[in-house]
Amino acid sequence: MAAGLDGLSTHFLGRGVAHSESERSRLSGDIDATERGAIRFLSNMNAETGDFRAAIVGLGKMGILHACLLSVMPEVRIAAIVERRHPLLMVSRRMFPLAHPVNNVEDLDGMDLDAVFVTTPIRYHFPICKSVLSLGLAKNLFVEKTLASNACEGQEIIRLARTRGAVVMVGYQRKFGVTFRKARELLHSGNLGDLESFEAYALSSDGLRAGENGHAGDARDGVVRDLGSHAISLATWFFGKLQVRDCSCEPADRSRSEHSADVTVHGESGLIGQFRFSWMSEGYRMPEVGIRMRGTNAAIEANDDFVKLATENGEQKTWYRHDLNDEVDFLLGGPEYFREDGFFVDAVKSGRDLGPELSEAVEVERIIDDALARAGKDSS
Amino acid sequence: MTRPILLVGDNPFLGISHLSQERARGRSRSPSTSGAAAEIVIAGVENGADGFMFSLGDTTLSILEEVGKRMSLDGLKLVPLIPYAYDWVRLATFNGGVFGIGRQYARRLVQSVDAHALWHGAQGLLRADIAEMLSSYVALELRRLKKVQGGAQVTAVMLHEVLTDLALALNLEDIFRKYVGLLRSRGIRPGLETRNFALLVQRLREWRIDTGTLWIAAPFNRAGFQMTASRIDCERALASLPGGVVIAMSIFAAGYLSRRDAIEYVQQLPHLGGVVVGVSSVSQAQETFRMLRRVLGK
Repeated sequence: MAAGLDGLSTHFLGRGVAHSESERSRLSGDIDATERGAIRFLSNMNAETGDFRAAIVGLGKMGILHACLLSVMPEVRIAAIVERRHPLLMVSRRMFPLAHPVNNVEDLDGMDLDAVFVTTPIRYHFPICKSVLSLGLAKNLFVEKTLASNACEGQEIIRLARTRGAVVMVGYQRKFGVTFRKARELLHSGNLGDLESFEAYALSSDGLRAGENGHAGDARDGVVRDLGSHAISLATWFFGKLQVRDCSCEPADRSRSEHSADVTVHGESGLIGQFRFSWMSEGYRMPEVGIRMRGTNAAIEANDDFVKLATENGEQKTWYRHDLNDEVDFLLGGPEYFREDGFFVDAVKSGRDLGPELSEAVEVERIIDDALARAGKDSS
Repeated sequence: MTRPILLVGDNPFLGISHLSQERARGRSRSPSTSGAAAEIVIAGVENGADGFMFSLGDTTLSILEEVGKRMSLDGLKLVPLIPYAYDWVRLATFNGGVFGIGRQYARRLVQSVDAHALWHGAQGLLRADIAEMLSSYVALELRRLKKVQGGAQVTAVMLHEVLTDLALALNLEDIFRKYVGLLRSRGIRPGLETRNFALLVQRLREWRIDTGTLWIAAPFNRAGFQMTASRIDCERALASLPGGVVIAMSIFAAGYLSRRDAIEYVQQLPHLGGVVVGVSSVSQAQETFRMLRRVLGK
């Protein structure tokens, strides 16, 4: 079996997934020194360039999480909170006494922000991103997944970002999970042989808990865009471009958000993929995202907790988070969130290009649009 | 370690496994959960455990009630974690986010008919004062616990790690100070659960909050699992802590370490006041607590 990263370029060159040296470094399952030490690294950099000033738009649980993680990073400052609901804005005054609480994104004008973190419901992402970039309210953007409500909006955000020279990153935090990074390393090291198929899933019991057969989900986007986007993002990160062949959703009626969906896709060189998304699955205390992939020589299974490699000759190896250097400098909500925020802040401060990050996020939008269109659903 | 406090943890009863959600799902299918869980708690106590540490919620209260039906609760140490943050966070997903949590909280306040909780809760909501809201919430939850605790003693009340670490990240000294003050005024030892032990110890020292009567629960294990920022940082912080009771959690690194490796590691830690271990069967409870008591001291 091929081991290490040496076999990577030869194996995948034929599929158009060749990688540069820096990309190979990013593929490593183990968190490298730069990411692990992002805080200390930043600390050195900011001594010369001053505080990194961030605004949080939307003080929901993701907004609070990002604000907390940013707050522990040296020389990173929450400069403003944008929240339309007055009681939450009042709470924000207590939680962030040094931040300016404002009602509208436009009120961020003149605050000299390095970045805006958009953590509102998805339907507000596009107008907020557009305002931030077109009005020059901040130099850079971090947007919680998904980037927008459809691929057209995503493309427009890319266009504006390029015009402004902005760093834009989308919060698919599982790319910073050690198990998924290890899985990608194994895949790109040629361990599988020729890739044949994959199954990816994103499942939770949230809809069951909400009662009324998950109809509470109508209050937000459907499961494909909301929870499923994590699995789609991982699949595009692993396998590159995917084309939707088929999609079925429950409930099927056009006007209602789907709580479950099955999507079939195909990729390059005959790769067949299957997605299963649902927030009506029994027994999922927490949402779970995972992927299984099969090649001619072996199979890989990865989820938030572990990655398993099983070869054709019966050998099996499992790596848990414990085995993959999962330490971070501050733990809240999962180590991957801290790594993700550190990576973004570091990229902004160092002017580092995030590579295909943004175009991958738009690719996720396109797959969601295509899947929902195949199922006869409106893409919001 | 002087005679350590041994506590039965509740993770397996709530379908939690930090090693694998797959394993946790296997557990959650077990039948007659409250009764079976009560038997496990009792097996732990009969083999050396001093009490039960649990996220205070409907499931754990019903387990405690079942324990009370099967044995005397007199002298049993109870260490509740408040609030059961998981429930609130998952609620937020489908019930209007953080704003929805606020509505739920207000509804529970009104339904409580508890003058102290209502007063502090109303003050907290009107002034958006998180410490006041927390104060009323603690009062509400202790009232729920009182109904089933019998002769058991509430040894300490731990602030759940999500709130502790959130307040820690935001440097909200006021929350810690008011929480500690509130519990001390009620004659209860205040506790803090955290996954950021080293930073918490550093901040408590900076804020000059007396750790003498404080309980702190944090991960300690040979694998360094969830020991933030690192195992060494946490060990140094533990060695430097001037007082208080530190309870080691995740000593098996969520099932990753053998029983022998796990116990040997905590045995050599200075200043450790006790351990909390979640067990998922009666035989596991018997073997684990018997060994813990034998190795860590009677």
